[in-house]
Amino acid sequence: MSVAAPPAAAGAAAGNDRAGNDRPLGLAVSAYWIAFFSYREMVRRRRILSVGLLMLLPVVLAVAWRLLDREGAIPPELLLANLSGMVYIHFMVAIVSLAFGLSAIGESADEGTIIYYWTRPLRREAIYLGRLVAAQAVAGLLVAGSLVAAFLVMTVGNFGIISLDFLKLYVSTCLVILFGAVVYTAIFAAVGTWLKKPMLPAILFAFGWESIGGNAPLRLQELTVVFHLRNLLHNSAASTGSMPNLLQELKVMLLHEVPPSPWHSFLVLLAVAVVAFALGCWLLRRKEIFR
Amino acid sequence: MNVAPAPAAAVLQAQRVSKWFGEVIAVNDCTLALGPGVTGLLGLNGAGKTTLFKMLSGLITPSQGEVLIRGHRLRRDVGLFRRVGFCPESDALFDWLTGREFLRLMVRLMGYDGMEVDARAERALDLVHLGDAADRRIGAYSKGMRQKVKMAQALAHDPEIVFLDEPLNGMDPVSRREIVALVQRLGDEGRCVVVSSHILPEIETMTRSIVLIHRGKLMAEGDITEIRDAIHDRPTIVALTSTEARRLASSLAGRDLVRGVEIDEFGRVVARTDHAVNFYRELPGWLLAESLPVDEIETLDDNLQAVFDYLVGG
Repeated sequence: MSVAAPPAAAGAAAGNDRAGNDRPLGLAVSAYWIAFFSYREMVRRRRILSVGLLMLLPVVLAVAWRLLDREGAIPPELLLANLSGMVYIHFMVAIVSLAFGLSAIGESADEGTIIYYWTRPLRREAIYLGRLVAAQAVAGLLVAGSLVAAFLVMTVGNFGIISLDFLKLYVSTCLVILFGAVVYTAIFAAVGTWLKKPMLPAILFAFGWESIGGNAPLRLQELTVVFHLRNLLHNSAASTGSMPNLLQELKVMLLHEVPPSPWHSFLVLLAVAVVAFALGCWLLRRKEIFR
Repeated sequence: MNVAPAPAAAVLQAQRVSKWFGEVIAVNDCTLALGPGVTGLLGLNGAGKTTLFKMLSGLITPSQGEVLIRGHRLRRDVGLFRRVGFCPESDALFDWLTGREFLRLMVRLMGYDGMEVDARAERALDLVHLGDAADRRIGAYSKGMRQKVKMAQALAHDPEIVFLDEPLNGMDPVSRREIVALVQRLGDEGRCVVVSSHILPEIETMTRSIVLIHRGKLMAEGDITEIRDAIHDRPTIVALTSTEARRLASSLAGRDLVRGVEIDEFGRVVARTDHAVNFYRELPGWLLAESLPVDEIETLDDNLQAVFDYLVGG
């Protein structure tokens, strides 16, 4: 070999006790770099195309609304409420979070690339946080892209519908949906870290439990993520004063069910995300790398 | 069989480690201490070699016992990975990155920043002769180049302990020679290098020091020749080339240390001895005393393959 020995080799070879240096890297810095590279990795995955195409569904519905409802029978606020409540929250957010959340850690471990993070002086929390943030960013980006596209379809050449109330409703809807993507991705990332074959349980959770439990009577529905997201959406819609929230009112009158406050729902969802994150970190610390 | 005393300054220690998966015991109560130099980790498929290797490198946790790096648990003190370089067997890499980007990320995640990142990445690329391909995507690399970039990331931060899992996989002969020389040099520099491979000649080109695991148990640890010498039920076979083969054969035949002598089809005197170390110590005296000319001496079965076969019954 013609290459000279690395200068530090002598120190390492002599067993130089670099104890002061044997600390893991800072959580924020390492999570940042992992998130940065993981994001670049995730946006190159083939599934981004298929998920991206699925995310066009609300845009297609908005196009149909523009083409078919020339009389203005469906007000834009109602369309937005239906898109957010039925399409995004029940379907889109779950799909996109499932696609990128499940794979955040699990896929990297299955492929074997996690070994390059694992054999660095990184806290397992930093690896988890970096991968999770990257997955949430990709999921959020796809959802945001879809929301912006739907908004443009609804408003371009139809500027009359843009009112302060509509804008407030749109922005608050976007925030709730993006928050939903963050929470669901955190849940699915933990599931992907836990199970070797997480797809079926995740689908059962997203489209089984969340659908059935979310519409269950009494307080059972409060055990679902979708209920709290809907609650946040209803509150944002009601606060604009532009859309009658009949279903909610009817439930209050008939079942004497008073929905929790938006802050309650927000805190519950935040707690779910934090618990899922903590659980995921714990699972990752215990994980064994066989590839 | 442990013919080598534990190194005084053991860098890497496994203390009574066991690992089981359900009811299957993969590694059973292994204790070893590795110091500077290259050590080959050997075993048949399913012997527990990979499990032991992964426990030593902190990828999996022992079910019992512990692995220590300079007295600290690697699984618990992840900061110790600053001292460790790991070259995995798995071919998985960040295919969308260039070799240089990948190495810069790996160096950065070791805690370096600024100019140091670039300098170390460049040095590691040079070390494995990958400088020309540094700006190509890893996805476009050949198998040998992928192996080299994996090797480079393991060495870029000057680790004290280097784990190499099947490091010569997929390499062409020239690259093999380069990597073997690099591994030998790492050992000469005083690093603790652990090489796992199922190709015995490959290990033998890198080191004479081995750890042999069989059926989950540590079967032998130490220098190949010393291990060979300790296998008393199999005499060591020594071939001597001489212009006076018959006289040499009759001289050797009467010695206590020699169990049997014959002349093979190449005209060499083939002697069998139960104590190779003593035989080699005494041999020059015998030859000088009787003025016996000898051109070449070769031990036919103190190679790794022979030792391996004797120990695992191959």
